[in-house]
Amino acid sequence: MAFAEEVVMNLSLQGVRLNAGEFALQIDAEFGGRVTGLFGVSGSGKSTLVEIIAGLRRPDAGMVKLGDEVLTDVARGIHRPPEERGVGFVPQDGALFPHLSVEGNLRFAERRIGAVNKVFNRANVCTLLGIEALLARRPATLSGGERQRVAIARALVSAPRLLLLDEPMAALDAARKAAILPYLQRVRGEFGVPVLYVSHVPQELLALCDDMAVLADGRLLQYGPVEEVFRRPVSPAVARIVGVETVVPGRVLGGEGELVAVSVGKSRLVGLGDQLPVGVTDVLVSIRAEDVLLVNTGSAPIVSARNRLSATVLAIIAEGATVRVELDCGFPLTALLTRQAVTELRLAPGREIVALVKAPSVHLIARS
Amino acid sequence: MDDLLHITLFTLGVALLSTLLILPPGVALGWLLARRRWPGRAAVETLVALPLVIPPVATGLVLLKLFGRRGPLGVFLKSVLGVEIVFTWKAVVLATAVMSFPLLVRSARVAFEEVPQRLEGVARTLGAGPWRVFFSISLPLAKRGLLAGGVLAFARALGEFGATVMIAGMIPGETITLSLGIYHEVQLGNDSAALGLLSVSVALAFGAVALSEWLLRRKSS
Repeated sequence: MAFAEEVVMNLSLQGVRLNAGEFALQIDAEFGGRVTGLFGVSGSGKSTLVEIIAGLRRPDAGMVKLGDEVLTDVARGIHRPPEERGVGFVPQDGALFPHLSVEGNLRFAERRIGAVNKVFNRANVCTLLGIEALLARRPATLSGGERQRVAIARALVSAPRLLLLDEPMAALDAARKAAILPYLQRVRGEFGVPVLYVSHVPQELLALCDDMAVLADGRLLQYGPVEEVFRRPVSPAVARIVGVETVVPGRVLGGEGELVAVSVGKSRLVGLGDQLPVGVTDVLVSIRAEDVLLVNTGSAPIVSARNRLSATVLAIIAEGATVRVELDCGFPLTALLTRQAVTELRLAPGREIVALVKAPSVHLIARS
Repeated sequence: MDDLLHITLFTLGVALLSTLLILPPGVALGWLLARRRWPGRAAVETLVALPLVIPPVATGLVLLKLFGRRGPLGVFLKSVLGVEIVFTWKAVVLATAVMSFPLLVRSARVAFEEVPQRLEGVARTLGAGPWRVFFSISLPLAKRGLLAGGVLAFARALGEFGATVMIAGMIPGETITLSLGIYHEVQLGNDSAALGLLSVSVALAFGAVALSEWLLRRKSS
């Protein structure tokens, strides 16, 4: 069923402007990932941007292109209606039609393609999202997680060329989120449809996205590979919104109780694995920069932190009151310190140091 | 007794016909007021609401001036279609339709406003054009409100008096409805006949309320 041809999106936003009162959207971007995250706090304009792409809102100016096709071009008076765009849209609440059964909801979306499309046929989609048993039910009788899966299935059977997921997990509690994540990862793997995934939860973006864009006050602050954005925010503003994190791929070596050992580059780390599905070997390891402690190499006190890494200072970047220290400890690691601490430790590029990280601060994220 | 039956059936027929006639334009206008911004919207809204505010007799007079033999619409209908409205059963239908139209439009507008616009938007992204969205999403979701509006309009049509008496007169066997009949019989001093018409009116009112309750309950289950 895997479908690998042409899965990257080619979405271009040129001079898109919209004055929405509380903020002015102003975006120039080319999104090219397979799954692109759109990150921003509420009120940053991400939902508005998604609605513009779906054709549900008209910008004041600018152009939206998907591949070679112009969807919106204000200057030329072009505004393709939503039904002609082939852009699937799943809002936060799923927006299922309450007067139709689950099957009726799916049928509504199917009209466009008929039976010709093998990948997006109903049976495939239902199996993948685990909703076969729900077909006769009414939306009102579904749980939040089920509703979201049906909403995603409904968008998929309409055979979209681009799928917009606007905080699909925001209304779910932690347990339901953990349950729906594997389905989203399957959508990512099995269907040749690029996804724009809106969220303000770093863990979701790390688990699902290749690239991410950071939006604040209607402007695009940074766009790049997810790991890159978390590791190297281009500005203090991005660092503040996203938080600085080291994100590196790792391999599960084995576990002892809830502690799981992973190899990362040439190093070995211990983290908490209670959120990790059984049998996962490839993971993303993420460590927030403020969770990394630095001590001088000479001193060897007994500390509670489970991870003790020899590191070399690569760079020191001052950002307002805090200083970002980039380290090499077999893999690149970023630490966030105060200016005072940097002075007292006499940190300078090339210096050897020891980095300490507690096991609960080593986040392990399953990655398909 | 024959008269009573005739008047009852005539009243029911007129109310039903006028409700059916105003249903398509009333629903369409309700949707346009709920979902679209267009020039002249405020003016149309006021015009439609007018019969609710001005005395029914005044509305009847306006209709008489418009549709009368020398009125612009009356002359037009006579010359083009050969149809005469005033002082016929058609005038009764016209008067009841005009009087109950605002109630229907108002209910329809509220019913459509209560349909989440998000659902209509998502339906569009799933490949449905505006017409399909209207008929498979907006209309079914607004159904209860529209039904309630229809029953309200029908009930209003059953009891219409002021505008009807102006434009249709009181012609026995031709334009007399239950409410006109009650007034007519009392004027003539036939209190017992008036009481007969009154009891039928009360029975119909009970029937209409019961019907609307039943329709609403059926929808909610």
